[in-house]
Parts: sequence; C-alpha cells; structure tokens
Amino acid sequence: MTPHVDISAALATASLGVLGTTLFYGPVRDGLGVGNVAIFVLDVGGFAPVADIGGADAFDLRERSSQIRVRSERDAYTAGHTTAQAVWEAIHKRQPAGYVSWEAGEPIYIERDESGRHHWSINTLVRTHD
Amino acid sequence: MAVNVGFEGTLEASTDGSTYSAIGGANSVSANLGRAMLEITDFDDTAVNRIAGLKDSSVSVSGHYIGDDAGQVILKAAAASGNDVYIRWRPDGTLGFVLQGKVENYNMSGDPGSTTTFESSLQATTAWTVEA
Repeated sequence: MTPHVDISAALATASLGVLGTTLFYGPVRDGLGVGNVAIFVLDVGGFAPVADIGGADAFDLRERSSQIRVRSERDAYTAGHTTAQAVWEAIHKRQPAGYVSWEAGEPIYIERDESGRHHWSINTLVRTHD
Repeated sequence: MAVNVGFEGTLEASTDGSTYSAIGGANSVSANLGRAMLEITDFDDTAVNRIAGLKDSSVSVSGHYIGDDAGQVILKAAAASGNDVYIRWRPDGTLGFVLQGKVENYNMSGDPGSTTTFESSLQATTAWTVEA
C-alpha cells in the first residue's frame, strides 16, 4: 500500500481535486499544468515498524506519515480554509480496506506566500499491518 | 551460533500437538521452563542441598488482536472449553520447545488510538519438551 496514492484517491472521491489537474503527488510546486488552487500529497517517512513474531515474512505494524498541502487562490483565505477542513474530514478515520487506521491532525496554517496564496498543512498518520 | 532477533522466531498453537497454526499478530512472548526444587538438607550437610522435582512451565503471549486468526482462535476456544492446547515457540524458526497446557486467561484491550490487543497466559499440564 502506498499512502500518498490512496490518500489522493480518497480526496478525489470526495470531489476535492482531480489527479493531475488540481491534485498532485509530491511536494508543493508551481509549473506547467499546476494552478494556484491545488492539493499536494507527499509521504514523509515514519517510525521503524513493530514486527510480529513469525519470521522475516511475518506482518509488521507500520506507521507512516503523509503531508497534505492545500493551496488557495490568491487572497482567497476563506475558500482555502474551507478546503483544508474538507480535506481533514475526508481523511480522518476514513481508512479504506487494508489499512488499520488513518488519523489526521487539524489543518495547520502555514503562510501567505509571495504570490498571495494561502497554504495549509494536514499531517496524517497511516497504520498498516502487513 | 548466531543470536536471534524476536521476529525471526515462530510461535504456534495446536489442539492436537501435530498440526500447528501460527499465532498471527503476536509480537511478544515469554516462557518459563521451570522445575520444582526439593530441599533435602540434613544435619550432615554443610550447605543447603536440593534435588530436582517436577517440571513446570508457563507461557504468556500478547500482540495485536485478529479475530479470525487461526492461532488466536485456538487460544480463545481453549480458554472457553478448558481443553488442553499446545504452544510451540521456536526462537530461531527451527528448534524450540513445546508446552502442553491450559489457557488460564485470554484478555483483550483497546483504545481509539491504537490497535486492539490480546494477552493470553497458559499453565502446563504435562512436562515441557525441548526440540533438539
């Protein structure tokens, strides 16, 4: 299982973005095909797994973190805030089959960038037992 | 001979001592392979003297609760029925020991922020054996 892929799929299902258009894997960026209003989903590591007994092929409890970044249109704080809250609601405790749990921290306001766009971060903890 | 890290081992349960099922989700096991000590000190001795008594053993297992895991099902069923079960722990994945006994308890606990866990303890009803 790849958290950033499944988290992005959940956001797309919740109509919060379209993959490749307003929803992207990886870090925050600008460039061709990336508009101001965008969501970025990035896996950012995790703890060492807690192993089960049962040989090298036995299951581990894995805890991985992903960061979801929400970027608003220029000077559109309210709309961006609404999106950030909707992202949280679409992720927290909404784990699909195969995951133990998805937990998401409340949206954190990051900055108003030099282009006047507002940024939020929603940090997630994803657990799997596989 | 190399030392073994815990995950390399195998931990299994059986109802008949021949067909074993892995206890899935287990991430901690503790075994006590013991023997009673009988003191036979008399007035002629210059120190405490003992002879070996009967073997005794116990095992406790804990980990993530998995409702349909075959090994955990064996433990739960034995806790309910009182029937003997067999536990086989092979720390290196090849050789270890076997305990036949009864499930003293099967405890579960959970909270919203972590996995539901189980813990089970067994007490021997026959002598433990070592695989060699």
